[in-house]
Amino acid sequence: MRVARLFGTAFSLSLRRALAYRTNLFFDAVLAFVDLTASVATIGLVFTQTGLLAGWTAGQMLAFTGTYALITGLRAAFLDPSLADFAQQIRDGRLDAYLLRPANSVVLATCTRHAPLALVQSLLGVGVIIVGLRELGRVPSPAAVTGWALLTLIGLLIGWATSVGLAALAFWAPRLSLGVLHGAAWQTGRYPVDIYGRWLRRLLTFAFPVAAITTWPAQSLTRGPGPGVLLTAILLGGVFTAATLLLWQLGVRRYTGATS
Amino acid sequence: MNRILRLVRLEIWRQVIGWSGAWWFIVTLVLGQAVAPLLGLFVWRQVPGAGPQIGSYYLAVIGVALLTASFENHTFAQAIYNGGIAAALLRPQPAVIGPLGENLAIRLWMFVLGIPLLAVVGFATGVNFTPLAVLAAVPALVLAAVLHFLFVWSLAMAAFWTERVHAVVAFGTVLVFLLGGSAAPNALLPDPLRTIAQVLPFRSMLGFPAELATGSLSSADAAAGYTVAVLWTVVLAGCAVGAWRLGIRRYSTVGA
Repeated sequence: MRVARLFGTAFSLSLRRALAYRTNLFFDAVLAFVDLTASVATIGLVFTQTGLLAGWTAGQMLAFTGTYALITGLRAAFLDPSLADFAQQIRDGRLDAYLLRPANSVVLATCTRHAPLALVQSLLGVGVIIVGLRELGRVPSPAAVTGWALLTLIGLLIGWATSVGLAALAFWAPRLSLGVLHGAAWQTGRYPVDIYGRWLRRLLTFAFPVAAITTWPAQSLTRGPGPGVLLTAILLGGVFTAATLLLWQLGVRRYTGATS
Repeated sequence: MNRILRLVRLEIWRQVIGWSGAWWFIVTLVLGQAVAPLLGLFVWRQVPGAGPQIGSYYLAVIGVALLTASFENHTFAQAIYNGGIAAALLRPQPAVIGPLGENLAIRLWMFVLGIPLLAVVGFATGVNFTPLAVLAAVPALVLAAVLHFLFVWSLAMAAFWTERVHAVVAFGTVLVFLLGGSAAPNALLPDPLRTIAQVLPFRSMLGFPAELATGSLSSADAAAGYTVAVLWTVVLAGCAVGAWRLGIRRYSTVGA
């Protein structure tokens, strides 16, 4: 509860700061729109040549792209601002400020700086999901929507765990900056894992599980929920979160601060 | 002219040495640059109508992307924001030498460190290039490198007017992705989008050299592509000079 209050306060502060710069809001909204339009246009291009992409129809792909935009927007709004200069914070000792505060240090250091304007992308993503469902011509069942929401949350949790896990490596190698690498790996979630070969598909399911982040939520929404998929996602979410928390604790133990 | 070339060579060497300490970061840049064409490859391999040359085409696109990568929104624009460009303005040499040297050094490192990736993709997709076609693509590759630098450098000069230079450059990147041949090869675009893409500069920055390397263009199409590339190089060079002159008039450094 205390963490939720902290999170809410941090978001409120970030929102007030962001709204003070209206031109930036305009730029971010236009960019989010252009980016999503490019994704949708790419799918449109593919479907001018084929009726099915690795078993996914045009409507299903739109719902998928909307889900990807929704999760990417949430990540950009709530995780990226804190993690952008995480290695730098370790190098110059600014991490001390989080460790000294009477709250959970991993939450403080990894998700209390926000970029609320990035949520424009998530809102547009929801719009694309609705367009995709209209294209499919059917209303998803309550179970499908619940499965989608749950899997999206788990996907976000896995996204947080992988981002923080990679960033935490900076405790051992402070000059290591893997943000670009994580961004590149995240891009593989732009399409369902079914388009990749067998080995890559396994890698993207268990090693860097973009399957759980984007494919499974969209699959649940457009084809109905599968208990096996839900169980695997929960398991993956638990394992990745536990591993990241362990890595964080080991890293913090190793961290010596700016002046010690 | 000789003096300028010597200065450019020196700047490239200085930057090559400077960036050698960040090889791990350059590896991540290579992956970041290659991921869009790689995704294109995976997607279009699922489409039966894409043709057998799709693997070769996207391998060439990855190579072109590595050799034409431009990050002036991170390098040059940041020098505008933090006042670092003031030092370049005081030197008795054209200010473009700094960003140009850094750009070429980064491209060199990216290509060298990207060779293993190109080899893996080439091996996995079973590519097929003829030496003559690759040779015909070399001038187009040089034009693509010049064009992409001029394009991103011009957009990065938006930093003279706004703090949102990344958004401005990202918009340009989306256009290159969509119409340049990364989202789909030009031949697979529906009309009239294909014709529009052929006359805009974005295909010349990425897809055109790759199409030439795979030998998928007729002589007439190749000549038309070269004409478009040369024309846009002249236009974008004019834009870059214009933006620089306007921007530098507006620029006031820390303490000025």
